[in-house]
Order: sequence, then C-alpha cells, then structure tokens
Amino acid sequence: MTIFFPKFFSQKPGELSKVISRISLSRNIEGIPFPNRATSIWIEDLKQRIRNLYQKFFAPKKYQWVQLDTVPNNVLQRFYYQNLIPREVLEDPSNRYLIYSNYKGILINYLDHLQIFSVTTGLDLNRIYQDVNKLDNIIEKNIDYAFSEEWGFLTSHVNKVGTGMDLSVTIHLPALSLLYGENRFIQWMTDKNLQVKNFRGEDGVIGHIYHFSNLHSLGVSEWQIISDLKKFGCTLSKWEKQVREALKNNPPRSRELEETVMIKGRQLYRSSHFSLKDIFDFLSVWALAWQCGIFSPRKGLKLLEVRQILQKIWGNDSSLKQECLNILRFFRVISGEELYDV
Amino acid sequence: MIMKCELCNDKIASIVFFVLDKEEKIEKKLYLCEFCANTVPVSCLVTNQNQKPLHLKKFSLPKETDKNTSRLSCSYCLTSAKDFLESGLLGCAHCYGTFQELIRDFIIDKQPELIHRGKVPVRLFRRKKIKRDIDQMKQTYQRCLEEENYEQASGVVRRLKKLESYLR
Repeated sequence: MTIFFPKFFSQKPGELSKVISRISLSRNIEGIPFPNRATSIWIEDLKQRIRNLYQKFFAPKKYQWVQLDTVPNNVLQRFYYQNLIPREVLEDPSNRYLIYSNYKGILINYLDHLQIFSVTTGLDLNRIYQDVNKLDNIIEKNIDYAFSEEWGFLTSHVNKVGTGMDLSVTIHLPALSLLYGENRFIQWMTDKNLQVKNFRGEDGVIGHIYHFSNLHSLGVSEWQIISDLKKFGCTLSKWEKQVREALKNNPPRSRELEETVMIKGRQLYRSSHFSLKDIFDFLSVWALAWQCGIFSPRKGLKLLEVRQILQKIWGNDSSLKQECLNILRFFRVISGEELYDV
Repeated sequence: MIMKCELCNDKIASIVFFVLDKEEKIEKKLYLCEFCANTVPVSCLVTNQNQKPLHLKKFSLPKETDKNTSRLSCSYCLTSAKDFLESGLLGCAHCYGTFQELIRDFIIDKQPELIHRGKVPVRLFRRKKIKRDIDQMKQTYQRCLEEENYEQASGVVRRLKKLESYLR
C-alpha cells in the first residue's frame, strides 16, 4: 500500500478527466461466413489469409501478432484496459487474434472477421480515422471485402451495415449529470441519435462516465459521422467546464457537493451491500470535488479515509481493485499508463 | 419532463419498469409506453452482464411477419429468419439478399437513408464511376434526340457502348 499511496493526487486540481475516443471499422471477407456462423475450417482459412497479409505488410511495420487464447490473463486485461479489445473478448478469447502496434490495430474473428481500430485520448477523431483508413486500404488492396453497392460494407449485425463504422467517445460528465440528472441526459443524447452505454458496454451510466457512439452507419458518410461526433464531444466538454466553473464560484453549491461526497463516502464505508454504481458514483463526485478544487484532501473526507473505503470495497477481489484503479486513472486522480498520441 | 419509450423510442413513456438486483436494489429503470409495457414479455426486459444488451433483445420482440418470410433461410450459411429475428445477427453476405425485406423493416427507422453513402472499395469505385457516366450519357442522348441533333446522338451511342463494355 505504501507504493499505492503516493500515487494518489498526482494531478494538479482544475484538470478534467480523460476523454477517450475509439474508432473501429467492421469488415468481412467475401466468401467466408461471418464469425457467428463460421466453422473451424473457415476460421483457419481466415486466420491464414490475415496471417499472410500480416507477414507481408504489417510485420515490417513492427505490428505484433497475438493469438488471444494463448496469452496470460493479465496481458488480456491490459489489452482490455487499453481499449484494444472489448469485454466480450476478454471473457472469451478463443479463436481470436490481434494485430496491434501502440493503440491501433486489427481484431480478428470477433463480431465480424476484421475490426480495424484506433484509440486516442482527446477528440482528434480525424487522425484516428486516417489511421484506420490506412490499414483498411492495405487490406482492401489484397482481400475482397463483402460489399454491396446498396448496403455498403456487409456486417454481421445489421445496425452497423453501410460504413461499418463504430465511433465512440468516453467522457466523464459529473457536473452536467448532477445538474440535469442522468436519465434526462441519456434521453437527450438518445434524441441526438447517439447510443449511450457505460464504459463496460452495458445500458445505464455508472460513475457519470458516458460512452456514446454513432447510431447511424447507413446513409451517412464516414466524415459526416466524425464531424458530428467531434462537434458534440467538444460541446459537452465546454458545457462541463462551464458548469464546473459555476459550481466552484457558488459557495452554497460547493458546500452541497462537499457534503454529498462525505455522505456517499461514509455510506459506502458503513454499508455491507453496494453495487458497482455506488462505488463509481462516489469516486466520480469525489474526483469532481477534488478536480474543482472544492474538496481538498486535507479537509473533510481525508485521503486516508478514501483509501480505507477503497480497501474495504475491493477486499480480496482483484478484478474490482483493477476496475477501481482504472477508473481513478481515467479521472486522472492517480497516475498510471497514459494513452499517448501516435 | 417528457420521456420517450426506451423500446419503441416513439411514444411517450407512461410506465416505469424497475429491475432489481439480488439485494433488491434498483439496478435500472426502464421507461415504457403503455403499448410496449403490455406487449413485451418481461424476460425481454431483464438483462444481466452475461446476456445480450437490450438493443439485441429488441429483435426477439413479437413481430408480425408473414408465414413465407419466417420460413426463409439462407442457402449458403443456413441461417433461418427465426435465428436472425432472435439474435439480430446475419450469418454471411448472402443473408442480405435472402432477408432483404426483413432487414429493411428493421433498419428503416434507425438509419437516415437505406442507401450507402460512405467509402467504396477501390475495385468497385471504378465500376460505380462508369455507371454514373453511363447514366449521364443516357441523359445526353435523350437531350440530343429531343433537339434532333442525330449526329451528336450517334457519337453518344458509340461512347455508351464502349462504357458498357467495361462493365462486362
């Protein structure tokens, strides 16, 4: 714990939490059934074709080839926390492969034959699209994709047909959530034709972290999706900053937030039953109060108390501990591995 | 505040459906309209981490499909219409031809248009361009006929034949 302790509060107050953007293009190869219907012979064929392509084009560029069911669980978890693989692949890595270099790469045999992806911190969506587009062009020159002029790129899930693009932005919006209420905020985002999930890919928001992605993929171009989401993400960041400023400059509101943090923290410490939402909502408001400079670790709910609460929560559950640390890293409350711009 | 139904996303929600976890704490709330609350089976609304998310569950909602459609199956990957309706997943590229009508019904409200407007693979881009040129040529040919400019029309026909030969 002595190592963990100084890592806390590595950030200067006033900074916002991380914003993580991920772009993925779903592609299937012509003539091969989609992964949900492909037999082991087809999967072997798919693997061989992509492996040949990897050796010819990607290996010289220092991309790594990983057979996901042969790597240790801690490596898989690292891939998951780096947003390289989704939760479903972490839980079932069999017959799945990953080609990656830094934060871009290709996931093979997940929902579609290929998921070409790139991840970054911030909202530089144009750059990450260029990254995936380059990879897509290399593959397309050598392998025929399942494509129809009417439907576009054919995907196993009809909701992604067309561009096959899934562009998601993960953003921490505690101030806006407290101001408008989570449900109202989710409804508003849904009305803007966005799909809202939590960072675990489930319905309902936890820790005031919104993971929103494009709902439309047919009838719109890739650049239109990018421009709409970028504009939306920037607007949200701006509003969050404005609400935080207002919160900081309004003493009764600041006190209210400070009390909320203390009440939530103590409830969590005393309670024997708590959900993941309870934990992450507490960490979220605690991070907000601290980031706004309202709630210093020397005052009220002290650092030591937070540490005790966290220790009690995760107990011997190492995966919960990992999730909590990951969230604190996302809030930039503890230092850790940062996504760097490629 | 007016909430829309989370299932049909159309009518105004008037019923709140609470999903409780093992400790009887509220895991999530679902805002439903009267129609969805009466027609959707409860099992479709309850999801946990190991189950499919709600948007996939929507595919298993009772839907009025005629008998011929529900008997359809893809001759290439053997995916049946029932499989598709239950999971929302297609088995291969040929399924798009087989279940064309069903797919249209599913995505007509979800997508702005039912025609691809994005990137096109290079091998098809040329083909698409030729088709566009042919359409333009046909319009020019019609205009020439209307203007009784037969000399230019014959030239257009020659170019049209040449372009059409590229597509074969």
